[in-house]
Amino acid sequence: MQRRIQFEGLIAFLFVFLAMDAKSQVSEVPQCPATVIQKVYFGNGIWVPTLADATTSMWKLKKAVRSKMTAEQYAVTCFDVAYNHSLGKYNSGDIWETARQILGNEYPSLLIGHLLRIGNIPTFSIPSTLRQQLNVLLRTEGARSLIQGQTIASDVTEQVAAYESDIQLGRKIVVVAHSQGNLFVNLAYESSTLTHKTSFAMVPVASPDTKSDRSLVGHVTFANDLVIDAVQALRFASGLDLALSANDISEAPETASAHEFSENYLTDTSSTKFIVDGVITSLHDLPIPSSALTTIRVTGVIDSISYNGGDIESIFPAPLSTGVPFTYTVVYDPTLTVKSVQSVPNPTYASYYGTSIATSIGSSGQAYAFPAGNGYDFTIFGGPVVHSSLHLASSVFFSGTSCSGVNHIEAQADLGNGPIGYFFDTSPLSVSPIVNVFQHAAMAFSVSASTYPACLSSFDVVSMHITDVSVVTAPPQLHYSE
Amino acid sequence: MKRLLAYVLSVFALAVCVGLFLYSSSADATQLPATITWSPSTIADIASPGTRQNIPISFTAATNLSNVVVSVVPALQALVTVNPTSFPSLQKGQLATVTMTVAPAATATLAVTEGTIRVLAGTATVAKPLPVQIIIETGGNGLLPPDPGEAGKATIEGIDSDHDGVRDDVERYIAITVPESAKHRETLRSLAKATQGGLSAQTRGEALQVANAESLSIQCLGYLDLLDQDRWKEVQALTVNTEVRLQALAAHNDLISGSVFHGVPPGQERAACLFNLESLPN
Repeated sequence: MQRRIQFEGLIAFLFVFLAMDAKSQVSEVPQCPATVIQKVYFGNGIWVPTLADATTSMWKLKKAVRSKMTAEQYAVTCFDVAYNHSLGKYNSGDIWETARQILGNEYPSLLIGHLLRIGNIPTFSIPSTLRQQLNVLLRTEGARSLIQGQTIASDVTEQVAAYESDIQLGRKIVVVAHSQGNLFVNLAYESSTLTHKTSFAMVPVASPDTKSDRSLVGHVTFANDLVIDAVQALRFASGLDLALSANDISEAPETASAHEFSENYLTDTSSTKFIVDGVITSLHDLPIPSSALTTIRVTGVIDSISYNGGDIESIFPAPLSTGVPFTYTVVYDPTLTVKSVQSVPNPTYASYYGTSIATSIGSSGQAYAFPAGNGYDFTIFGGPVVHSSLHLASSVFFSGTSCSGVNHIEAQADLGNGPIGYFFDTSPLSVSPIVNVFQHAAMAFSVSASTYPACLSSFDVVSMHITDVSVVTAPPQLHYSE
Repeated sequence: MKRLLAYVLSVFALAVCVGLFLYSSSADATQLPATITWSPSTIADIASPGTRQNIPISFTAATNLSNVVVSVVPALQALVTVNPTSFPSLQKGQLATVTMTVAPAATATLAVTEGTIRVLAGTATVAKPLPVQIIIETGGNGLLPPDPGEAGKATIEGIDSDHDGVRDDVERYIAITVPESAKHRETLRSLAKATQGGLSAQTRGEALQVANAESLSIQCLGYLDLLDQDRWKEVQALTVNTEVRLQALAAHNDLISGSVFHGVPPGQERAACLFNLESLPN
């Protein structure tokens, strides 16, 4: 008896062990790291029968966008899928029944195979006449559901929460919405729970909707997209406003309807360019969510000031004097990308370095010398400010009307703890003056003399003793939670 | 006249029937067709080039047999041998055990080869030959589960006779259609498990868990640059091959609709593959 109990116990243990093992094989997706400052979502369209299909589109979108990004840009970008049902809720027994009539008893595999666009495999191939019938059915029912299907707020609750979570983490968001996905994204954008909407944009592809409120780049729809054609016909017949108009044509559509994302919109040269450029442009133009900004109050004494036509007064209340205590606040963007400090030997750049001796590179550059010092230790990237000692810091102020229109300036700094620096990208400069507080009197910045000649004479440099640095407001800790 | 014609026809028909009866009775009495029963009833084996497997097979004779020869059809002879190749005689009901050796050359082509192993009594073939399918693929080793046929369509879960989480019909399809890449097959197996799991999921939590695995499988294929081969589409279409399964897929879609599925972060694309890539040859 005892042996039997032992045996049964062993069996139970093995069962539990195997069950645990099976569960452990369902791994979680690695988390998007805190260093990621922007996210691209793909919102799928209609007749995408499986998540695998939507994920494939996301992957191909990611590959296309990555090919046009720098390594630094890609390293701070995550790609997700916002999955929308396209079987189930909108499907009906009518479609299954009609598909059965068209395709016969093997219709489930043939239908899924057709929706996944595998026509070249004998097992799943459908005679062309039947395929045409099926396409007409899918277009008709698809167009009907795109107009009559009730997309309601609860359909997008979870997606809105995901967008909001990213925004609270300081991330810009761009959703590439295909077909039905546009209805979901437009609904999400209207949600009252989505804050900082200015950091949210969409790239509409084959939209059946009449609007795209949050597109910064327009939209793309093929004139020969038969699904959207059917939508327009239904809208017209019903007296409804028409969907966004066609503005491109698929030169060599891979599918009969010229509607699918991967096979058509992401293979056609012009639409692919629109989508990829649209993502990159939108990410660039979107402002960083203000939820991600840190305000730091700095107090100290100015040691020296070098005026050179910049707009330092916009930060320091005039008159500025050396030896006078000051207080100012810095709105710091903790999501700036870290780059390594590097010299800029290119003579077309005017570069300024300061340790004990400044070096001038470039015919129009000027040199500024900064005394070396130990400086302040504090963490910029979302962590707490840590004081160690009071020493020297330097700031560069780059602003003013003379630099208006400049939308790309790099400034780099050696914080004294190795090669560290910051990449600044401001647009327009006059609105967001570059302000930085460094712990060490070593800094560098560079401006392209050929591209931005006006800026060469419009910066100010100040060296100062910092007496206190405190965080006035801080962004949330940059961590990612599922 | 008409009556006479009817009479003649009736007699003729009766004569034909009697003749047929006598012929069939005579055949039964003098020449019973020899038959054997194989175990297993079919063989589908996966083998890597340059490897060797010994697979025990057996057959039972339904009648007494003499001068029994076991032979491999020419199509399989480069891959398969049997031992012993002959039995002097076998009694009715006697079990004959044979070792089938699968040993493709190191240079063997990655392909699926089909044929049979036959038993002859004297010069006559004894029904039925054993169907054999040899799949030469990289990193492959072992028997495939038998084709479940229509029985595999009776339930949503289907038949998974080797309990590896992949339905037998799908497992066979993957093995047979993708002989050239072990990594590709492993990823498709992960996808097949996840897709099948979606059909069986009852709760949103269960559905999301398998959906994450489905998403990762696709991203793994992307990482391996295999997405465009479209084999994953075939696996999914095959998985949803009955009306009940189609309805289950629609229900699964409803459960996961509105959710967000994460892509693997930049620089961590390899993490989408949930198996040890280095352990597989290609």
